Amino acid sequence: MDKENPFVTVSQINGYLKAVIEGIADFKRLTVKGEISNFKRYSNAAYFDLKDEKSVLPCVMWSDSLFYLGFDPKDGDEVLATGSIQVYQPRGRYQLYVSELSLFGQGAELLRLEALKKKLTAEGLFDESRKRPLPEFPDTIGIIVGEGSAAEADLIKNIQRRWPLVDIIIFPSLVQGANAPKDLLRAYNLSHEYKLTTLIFARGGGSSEDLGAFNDEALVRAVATSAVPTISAVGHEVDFTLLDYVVDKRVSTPTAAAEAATPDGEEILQELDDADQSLDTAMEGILLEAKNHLSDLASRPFFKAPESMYKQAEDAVGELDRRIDLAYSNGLIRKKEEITRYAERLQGLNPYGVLKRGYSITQKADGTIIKSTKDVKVGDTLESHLEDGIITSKVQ
Amino acid sequence: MAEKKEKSFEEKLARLHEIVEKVEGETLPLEESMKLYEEGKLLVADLNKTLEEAEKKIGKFQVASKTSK
Repeated sequence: MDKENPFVTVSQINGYLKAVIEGIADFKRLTVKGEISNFKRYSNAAYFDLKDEKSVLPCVMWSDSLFYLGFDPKDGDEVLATGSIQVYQPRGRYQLYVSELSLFGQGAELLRLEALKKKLTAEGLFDESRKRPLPEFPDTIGIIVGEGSAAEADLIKNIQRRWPLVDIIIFPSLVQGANAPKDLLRAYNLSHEYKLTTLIFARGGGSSEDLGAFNDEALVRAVATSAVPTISAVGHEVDFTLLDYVVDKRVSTPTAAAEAATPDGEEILQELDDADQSLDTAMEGILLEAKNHLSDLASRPFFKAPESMYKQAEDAVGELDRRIDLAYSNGLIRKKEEITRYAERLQGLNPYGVLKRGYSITQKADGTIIKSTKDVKVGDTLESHLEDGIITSKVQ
Repeated sequence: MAEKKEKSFEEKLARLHEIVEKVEGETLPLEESMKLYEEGKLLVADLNKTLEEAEKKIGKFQVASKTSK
């Protein structure tokens, strides 16, 4: 700005500032923390602003740097951007030329979590098919929870209210802070030395950093192998931890965990009542039916006039008797007739029968019947049998 | 932790349901119905008693020792 040149050109001042700014050693490589806004990606570069509460810094990132990014930058991401401050002379604009970009704080943690979740999902640890049903009537419920916490009290109260038949074993654990993951794992391993039917992890609400222990890879892997069905009730409805994905049942409050782990005693009592009444009603029905059946049978003629049964039998006996008599007498007549017939035939054969016709039979004194003259000699005494008597004679 | 010698609550409740269904649905000999009815009534009384007694001794829980074995 001398007298011969009372002005400088735009290009000159921009060039001058470029030289000054880019000459600052610290600007050659520095890391800026800020929140991404107005992120626009083109084929050769991405343009965006980094901002904090008060200021905005324009940024450029060439595609070769973009290529190696481990995440997809978007508006609102809190990031650390490393690069150099340079001036874009045509527009008099200083910008951060970003060579490395990474998520910061929560964003970084989220990124890590996402990667872990992806890995464990790929391994099948979160598969729906791995989920087991919770026992309907648990014997012993284990609870991993902060000692003396509201969640602990809430669980004990609600479990006992709903289902007093269950035993509860508390496994106190740190649920927050750097040592929490290890302590949770210790409590988990301890719980498996007991005979449990259900295991509950519980913790009240908190910031997502507070719930970080429940994202611990070692813990999640251990719970995936749990011998008993598991329930998680960690944080609020909107908070999801990796533990929530690996347990058999995820709920959002300790009360809901108590409800998931136990049957409702009131309902069971009602059920018993219903069963009691059903039994009475059914039995009354059965008895009534039996009674009706009985009175139905009792009204049959058989029971009304039992003597008819004997009458029938008597008649039957009488009939048989008559038939026997008849058969017997018929038999007698036949026999008599037969005898008469034989008697007549015998009559025809009677030797004395011929005497009636004038014949006689002559015998010697010894009874020998005389059939020829040679049978006698002079002097024998003979007896001749006639029809009406005997003539004694002597042979001459 | 109760050692189970007799049937569990769950098993008894299942048996009760089975009995109710049998008595209600099937045409069983009267004698058998009576037997089932009696068994069912005993179960109802028994289960009710179990629940009532458990309610009386509420507050039973233990805290596992903090140090792992």
